[in-house]
Amino acid sequence: MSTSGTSAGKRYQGRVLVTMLLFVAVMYVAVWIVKHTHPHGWLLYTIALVPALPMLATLGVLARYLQEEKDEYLRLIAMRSLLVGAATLLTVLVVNDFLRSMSGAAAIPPFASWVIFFVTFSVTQAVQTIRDRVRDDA
Amino acid sequence: MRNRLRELRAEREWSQAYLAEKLEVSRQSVNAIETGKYDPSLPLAFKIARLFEKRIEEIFEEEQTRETV
Repeated sequence: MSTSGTSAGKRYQGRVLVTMLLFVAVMYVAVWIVKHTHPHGWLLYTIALVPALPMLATLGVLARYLQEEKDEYLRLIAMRSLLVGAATLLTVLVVNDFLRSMSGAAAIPPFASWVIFFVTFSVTQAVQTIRDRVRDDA
Repeated sequence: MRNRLRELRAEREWSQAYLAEKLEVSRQSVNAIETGKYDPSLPLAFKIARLFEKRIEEIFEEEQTRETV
C-alpha cells in the first residue's frame, strides 16, 4: 500500500502482515484437521469457515487504516483503489454469473475473488503513487 | 482550482518535503496539490494559508476567476 511512510500506513502494513501470517497458519491447521480427522456436519462447516476469518479481518484492517490516516490525499488514494478493486471484482462476478447461467461456463476458481480484489486494489494504488512521483524541484 | 503553492514555496526556498512536514501531510499530498491533481479540504487550505500568512483566496483561485481577470 502507498502510505508514504505515515504512522497509520506503517500500522496498516504490520496488521496486514499479521492477518496474512494468521491466515497461513489457520489454513494449514484446517487442512490438516480435515485431511486427518475427516470431520463432518457442523464441525466441518466450522473448520471450513475459520480460515476465512483472517481474510475478512484484512477488510477491518483497511477500514481502520482509513480511520487512522490523517493525510487526506492518501485517504483519497486508498478510497479510489478500494472502489476500483470492488468494481472490478463485481464486474468479474456478474459476467461470470451470466456466463454460468446461460452458457454453462465454469465458475471462477475458489479464492479467486479475493485475489482479484486485492491485486486490483494494490495495482491501482501503485499506479497512483508512480503517477505522483515527480522530482522535488526546490 | 488553481493555486500558488509552488510559487510561494519557491519564494521561501522550501522543499516539498519541508512543506509537507510543516503541514503534517505527505510529500505526495503537497505534490498533488501543487500540480492541481488534488484540491485540499477547507481545514488544510486554512492551514496552508496560515503557514504562508495569506488569505485562502490569495493562494487558491477558481479557474474561471483567473480567466476573467
